[in-house]
Amino acid sequence: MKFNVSVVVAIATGLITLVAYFIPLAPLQAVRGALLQSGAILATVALMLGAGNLLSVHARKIRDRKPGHLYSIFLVISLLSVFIVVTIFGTQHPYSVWIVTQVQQPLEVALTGLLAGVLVIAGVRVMFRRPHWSTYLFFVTAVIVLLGTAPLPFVAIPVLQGFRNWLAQVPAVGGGRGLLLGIALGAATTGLRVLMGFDQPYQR
Amino acid sequence: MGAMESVLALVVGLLLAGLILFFTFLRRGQWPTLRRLSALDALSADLGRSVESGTRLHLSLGDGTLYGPEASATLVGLATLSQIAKAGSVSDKPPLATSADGAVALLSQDVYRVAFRHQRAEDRYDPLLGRIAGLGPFGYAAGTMHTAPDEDVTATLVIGPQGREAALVAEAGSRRGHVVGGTLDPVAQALLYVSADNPLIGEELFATGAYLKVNRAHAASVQAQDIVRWVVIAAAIALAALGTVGIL
Repeated sequence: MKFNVSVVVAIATGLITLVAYFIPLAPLQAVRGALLQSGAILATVALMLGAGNLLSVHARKIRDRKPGHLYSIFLVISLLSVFIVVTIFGTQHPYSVWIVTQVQQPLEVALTGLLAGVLVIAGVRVMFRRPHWSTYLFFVTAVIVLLGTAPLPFVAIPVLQGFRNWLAQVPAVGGGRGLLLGIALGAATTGLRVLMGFDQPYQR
Repeated sequence: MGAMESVLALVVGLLLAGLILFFTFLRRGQWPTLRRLSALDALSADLGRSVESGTRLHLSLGDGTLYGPEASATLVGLATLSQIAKAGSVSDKPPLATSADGAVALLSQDVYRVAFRHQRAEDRYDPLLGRIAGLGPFGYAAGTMHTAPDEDVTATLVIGPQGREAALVAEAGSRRGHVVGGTLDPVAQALLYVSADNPLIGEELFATGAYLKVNRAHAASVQAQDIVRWVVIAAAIALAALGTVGIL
């Protein structure tokens, strides 16, 4: 474990922010607020650098005529057009709002629809790719939940709906809480490793 | 957060910190025996295969940031990247890391720079190995879906914060090779269970660093988590029992 200025600054910043979270002292809260505000400003600058990185990746792809470079041309044109429109007219102008509501949102809805199709195919494929009792249990549970949720034509199966509700409210919630407990402990140890200087995802 | 919850959180935090320090500095030369996890065995195999056959590995760091609640998963992804970048920097096609946040992309480039320097191959360092694939969850997924076919990727690692769109990334990766996937969101984990060849369930994501031997503190974290998990389970059962008999 090497200690240098950046490590000391990172640990001190993390400790101050954490201590201020637990101890509501006005000076600590003020320092914490200033640190969080600085973080938000830095994140915005990083976002601009990220957009530059995205442009560089696709500019290289176009220059080298790599597979899929036509998509890259489309991406660069779209990125620059949106940037120009929003910079000139502002985020609340009807042109900017139109881009979000008529272009971005429909595309995201389309991807969500694609996701549903992908999952059906992947769900069937996993039965053959990973033959294991847990896979079969997963598949049977998914079918029961689907049958218990979807409106079936001509028939109503109250037992199935009751079983579906029990599955969703008892084993699923219990399992979900177990997962969340593990994730919370994992997240805490990851943060503590950074605070103690064992993990240095910067200037190593 | 109420006073009671604050005190409890502080106690758990201090207990975890104490255990991490204890296990890190106890038997420093020895690595603990960890149970086998097929997903992380597959990850190591993918890495070796990629170096030997000169094919590319893609690490999807997800669409999270470093300052939200999902930052822990981003840090796990970056720790994973540090190991695969060191091993893959000698390959003809070094691994690629994609993200959706500027700060995460900058850190991934820094990880690459250090990995290439570590292998004395600074001249081969390319900052665009750590790249932004798209902005926003679905923008990222749409951009990442092209990475596997366009960059000759034979194994995709989805290790970082991602929502339901992780299934799209995993599905695109599975068309070109093997996929290992783990994330924070329980719903996304269920989706990765069907779309990835080797899913990481629950806290297995946080064990990645210990299995890849990033440093001794990662293994100590896994040991600390195991102990505190049993303490929390025992406390939950005891409190439920006390509540049932009417004491609480």
